[in-house]
Amino acid sequence: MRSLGIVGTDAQARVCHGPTVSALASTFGRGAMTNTWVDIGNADFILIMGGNPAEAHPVGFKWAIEAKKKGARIVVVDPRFNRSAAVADEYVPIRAGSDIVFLGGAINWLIANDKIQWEYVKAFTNASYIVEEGFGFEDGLFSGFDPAKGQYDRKSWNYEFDEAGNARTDPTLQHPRCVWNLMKAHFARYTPDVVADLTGSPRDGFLTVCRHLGETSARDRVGTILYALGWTQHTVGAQNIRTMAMIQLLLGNIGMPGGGVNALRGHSNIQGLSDLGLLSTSLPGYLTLPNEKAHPTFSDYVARTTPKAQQPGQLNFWSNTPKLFVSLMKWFWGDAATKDNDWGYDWIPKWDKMYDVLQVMDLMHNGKVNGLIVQGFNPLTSFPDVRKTVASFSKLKYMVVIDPIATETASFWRNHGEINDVDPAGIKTEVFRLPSTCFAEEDGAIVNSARWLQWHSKGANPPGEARSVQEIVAELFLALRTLYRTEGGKAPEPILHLSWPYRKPNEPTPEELAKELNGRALADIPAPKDPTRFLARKGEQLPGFALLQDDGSTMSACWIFAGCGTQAGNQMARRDNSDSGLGNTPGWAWAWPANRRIIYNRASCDPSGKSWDPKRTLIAWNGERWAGADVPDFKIDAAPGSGMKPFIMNPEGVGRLFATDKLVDGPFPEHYEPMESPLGTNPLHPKVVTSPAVRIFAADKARLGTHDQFPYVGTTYRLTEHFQFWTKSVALNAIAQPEQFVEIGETLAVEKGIRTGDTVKVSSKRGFIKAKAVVTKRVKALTVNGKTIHQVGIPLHWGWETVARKDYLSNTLPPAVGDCNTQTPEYKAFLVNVEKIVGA
Amino acid sequence: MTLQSLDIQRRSASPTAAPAARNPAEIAQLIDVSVCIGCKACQVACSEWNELRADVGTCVGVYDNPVDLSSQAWTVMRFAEVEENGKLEWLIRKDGCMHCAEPGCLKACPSPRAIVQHKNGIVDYNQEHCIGCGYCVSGCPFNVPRLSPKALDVRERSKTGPAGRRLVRGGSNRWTKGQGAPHSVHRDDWIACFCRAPHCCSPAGPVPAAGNRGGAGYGCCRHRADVLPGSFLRTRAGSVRGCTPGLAPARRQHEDHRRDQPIAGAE
Repeated sequence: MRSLGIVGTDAQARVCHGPTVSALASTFGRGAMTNTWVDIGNADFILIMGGNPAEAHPVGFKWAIEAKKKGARIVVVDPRFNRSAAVADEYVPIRAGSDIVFLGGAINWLIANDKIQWEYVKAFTNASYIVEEGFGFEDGLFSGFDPAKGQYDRKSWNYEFDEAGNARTDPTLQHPRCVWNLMKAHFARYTPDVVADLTGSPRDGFLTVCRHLGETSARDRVGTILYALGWTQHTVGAQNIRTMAMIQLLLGNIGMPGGGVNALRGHSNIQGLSDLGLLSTSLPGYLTLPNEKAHPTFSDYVARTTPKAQQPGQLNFWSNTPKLFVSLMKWFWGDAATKDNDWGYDWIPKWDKMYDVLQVMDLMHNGKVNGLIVQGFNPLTSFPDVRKTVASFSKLKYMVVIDPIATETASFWRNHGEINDVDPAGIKTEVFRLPSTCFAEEDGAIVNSARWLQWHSKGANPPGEARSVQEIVAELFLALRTLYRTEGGKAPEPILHLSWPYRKPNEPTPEELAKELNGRALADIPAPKDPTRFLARKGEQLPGFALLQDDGSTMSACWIFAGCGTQAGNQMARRDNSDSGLGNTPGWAWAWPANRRIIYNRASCDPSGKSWDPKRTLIAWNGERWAGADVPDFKIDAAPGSGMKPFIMNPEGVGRLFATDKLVDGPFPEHYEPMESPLGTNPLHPKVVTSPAVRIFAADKARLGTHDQFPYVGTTYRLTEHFQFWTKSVALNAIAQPEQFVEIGETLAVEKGIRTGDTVKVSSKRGFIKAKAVVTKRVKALTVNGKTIHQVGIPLHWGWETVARKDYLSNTLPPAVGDCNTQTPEYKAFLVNVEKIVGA
Repeated sequence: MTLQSLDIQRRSASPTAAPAARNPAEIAQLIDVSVCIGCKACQVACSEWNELRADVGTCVGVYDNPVDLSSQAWTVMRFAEVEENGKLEWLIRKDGCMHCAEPGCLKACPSPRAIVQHKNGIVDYNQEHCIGCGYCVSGCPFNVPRLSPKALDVRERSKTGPAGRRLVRGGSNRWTKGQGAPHSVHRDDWIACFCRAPHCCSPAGPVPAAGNRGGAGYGCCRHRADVLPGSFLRTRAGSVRGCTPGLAPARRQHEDHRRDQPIAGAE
C-alpha cells in the first residue's frame, strides 16, 4: 500500500482505541494495555469506568471475578447501571462526557488527603521536573493558544533544561514551577462539590471511589482500571485516559502486578492492527510515517524522530530509531535499499495531513475522492453521521469491498425506506464485492489486548469463491506491478522495487509474513565485544530486536514483533501454560515487547531493586541482574544504583504527570464539555466551553445540535449478545437480541408518556432512528449544574444486512467530530431528542 | 460411566420400582448467580447443542430474548430490576429445567416413561412416549415446560378435526397417523424444558457442586445472596440445585441415546 504511494489510508483502530495509544504513550512511553487479562486477578481494587467489560469482554472479565473472589472490591462508574455493575460492589452514575471532572476530582482528593505513593512519585515520575517559565493555564486555555488556527503553539509546554540538555529538577518539590506544584494547583479547582455538580454523580459515590483509590497508595495495595471506548470516544478521549494514567502514577500502581491501566481492546486483533502501523500516519512498530515538511530527507527524519536522553544514564530506547527504521526499509525494498539511496527513503510516501476517517469522509463529501477500498470493515455502520457517509459514498466512482459477509457499506445504495432513504438511480458508484475468509478459515496470529501474539490454525476451508486477503491484495499488487513494468508510469520505483520474495508470489503465506515481521540477519552479525563470535549468521531469524542494525545487515517488518518467530520456531504457537508466578505464563504464545507480560515492571521494585510488595514480587535485582517471573522491562544488568529509571521508552526515564508537548490539547487534562453539551456552558470557564483544540470541518459544524432542540444526552454502546455489526448475520445472536432498542430512565419515560416496549423516535441534528423503548431503573436522571439531565442509551448492532430485524443504523445520530489528538469520533456524548411514536 | 447415566431412577406413570443394582454417582450443576453476568452464552449453547432455533422475536422492552421458554428455547435468561433501600440490583436468572430431586412433571405425567429421572439426577423427556396432554406444565412448580404450537395444533385437531383425524399410538413406540393426521410432526418439538448444555462466559458461573448432594439441576437465586459458593436455591425437596460443567459427558450420552431411538413421524 505504501509502495503505491497511498497516504489516504486508515483503520478500525481510529474509531476505537486511537486515544489510548496517544495517552498511554505520552505518559508511560508505550501505547498499549500495561498488564494482562490474567493479571487483573491480582488486583485489590478494580475501577471500571469508561468501559463495561462484563458486557463487552465477558470472557476476560472472569479475571475481575477472580480478583473479587480473593477479596478485591469492584466499583463501576458509568452513565448506566450495566452488566458489570450487576456484579460489582458499588455503582456510581455519571453524566457521559464528564469523566475528567470525576478523575481530576480524584487527583485533588488524593493530594489533599495525602494518599500518594511518595517514594514512587519522587523516584519514578516527573513530579520534580521544573517546567519552563512561559507555561501557564488561565480561563480554560493553556499558554500558546492561537485562536485563528484553533491550535496551540506547544513550545512552552516543556521542561527547563540545563546546558547539558538535561531537564532541571527539584527533588524537594518546593520549586513553584515544578510539575508537582503546577499539577496540585491545576486540580485544586476540582473539589468534591464541583465534581458532584458537573458529573451528576452523588458526592458519596465519588468519595467512595476516592477512598478505594487512596487505599492503593500503600505499598502492599494495588488497584487497576479497566476501560475501553467509554473513554476514548470523546473530543477529550486521550485526556480522559491521561487523567487515569496520572492517578495510577500517583498511587504507584504502574508496573505492579494487579495494577496498571488496562485498555481493553474489543475488536479481535485490533491491537495487532495498531502494532502493524495501519493508521494514517504510522509505520509498523509505532514508527512515524515521514511527514513532507518535517522530514523531507532521511537525515531529517532520523534527527527528528530520535530523541536525546533528558537525564543522565537513561536507556532512552527510541535512541535506536535508526536501527528500527533501516531494518524496516530493508523489509520494504530488500536489496534495492542501500546506504547510498538512504535505504529507499524517497520511495516512502510522505504525509501532508492526517487522513483519518473523518478527514477522508469529508474529502469524499467534497468530491475529492474517486475510489475507496474497504477491507474487513463496515464504515457505513461504524462511522458517525450515517447520512453524511451515504452522501459521501454516493460521490465515489468505485468502491471495492473485501469482506467475509454482506455489509451495509457494500449496499449503501439500496433503498430501505426510512431506514436508508436513497435513490439508487441517482448513485453512480460502482461497487465490487470480493468475498474473503474470516479468521477461522486461515492460519495466523491474533494479537490480544495484552499484546500476546497467539497463533491459530484454520478450522475450515473458506466457502465458495472466498479467498484470503493476502491473496486478493497480492493479486492486485502483482497486476499493478505488471502494468507499471509494461506501460511505465509516474514514479514507478517504489512499486518496482518493493521486495516480494514469496514462494508463490500471488499467495504469501501467514508463515512467510510472520517470519518477515520477526526479521532476519542479512549478513553475519558479530558480537560487539568479541568479533570472532556471531550473534546471528546470515539468513537466520533474529532472536529479538536488540540485534537490529542501522547498516542494512538486518531486516524486520515490525520491530516490536522481533522474537515472535526465531530460529527456535514459531514462538506464537507455544502452548505451555505453566505459571512462573502471579499468573504469568511466559511459555504461552508470545508477547511484545520481548515476551514481557507486564510492561514497566522495573517500577514494581523500589529504587533499591526490592519489590514494593513482597507478596507481589514479579522481578527483583539479584545482585547481578534483574530476574523473576516476568521478562524484566529494563536493561538486564543496570544495577539499582545506576540511575536508570523504569520508563525506558521515555527520554527522561520517568512517567509523565506533565505530558510536555506530547498531546495537542494540553500537558494536563482539563474538563471541556462535549461538542454537543447539555449545559450549553462550562461552569469551570464559561468562555471556553468545548475543547479549543478540536478540529471540526465546516460541514460537520453545521450539523451540531443544541440543548434547547435536543435536550437529552445520547450515548452509544455494545451488548454481550452481539459483536459489532457482524453477528446480526448470525441466527443465534439475532434471536438473543433481535431488534434495535434504546434505554430510557423511568422519569423521562413518565415525562414523555413512554411505556416499556413502545416504539420511539430518537433524533439528533443529523437524523433519526426508530427503536423500541426499554424503560429502566438502570438509567437515572442526574442533576447537573442545577439542571435535570436525562441520558438515553443507544446500543448499536443492527442494520439491514441481517437475519435479525431490519433496522436503522444507530450511528446516524452521533456527530462527525473526533478526539483532538487522534480524531476518534465522539460517539459517547451527544444530544438527542426522544418522542413516542403514536400508533406504532 | 458411559451407560450409567442411562440407569433410570423412576419414570412417569410407572409404579414398578426401577432396578437398584447400580447406584451411579449423582451429578449436579450449580450456578453462582452472584457472579453471573447474564451473557446468555448458556442460552445460546443450549440452542446450538439441541439444534433449537427460536424465531427472531422482537424487543418487548426488556433484555429477555426470546421473551419466554418455548419448544425452541429451553433456556432463557431473565432480567429483573429490583430497588431496595435505594440500592438497585439487576437480578439475572437462568430459566429452564431444574432437574428436581422430586420432579413435579414426572409425577403429573400420565404417560408411562414419557418423563424419566435418571440415576445420575438428570430428568429427561422421551418424546416418543409423550401424548401431548400438558399435565407436566401444571405439574412443574417452576413453570418451565411449554407445549409447542405444533403439539397444541395436533391435540386440537385430534379432538375436533374431521372424522378419522386422530393420532394413535403404534406398536413400536411411534405415532402412526390416521387419515389426515399431520405428516411431519417431530415430537422432539413438543415440550420444552430439559437443558443439557450448560456453557458460560463467567468462570465462576457454573461451578462444580460440592459432593453428591443434588441432582443434575440448575439453581438460581437472588443475585446477591451475600454468600458466594453455597448460595444456591434449595428446591422443595431441600437438596442443592445448580449446574456444573461436569454434565458434558452425560449430555453426550443422551445425544447418542436419542440418536439410537426411532425418529418420530419419519415413516
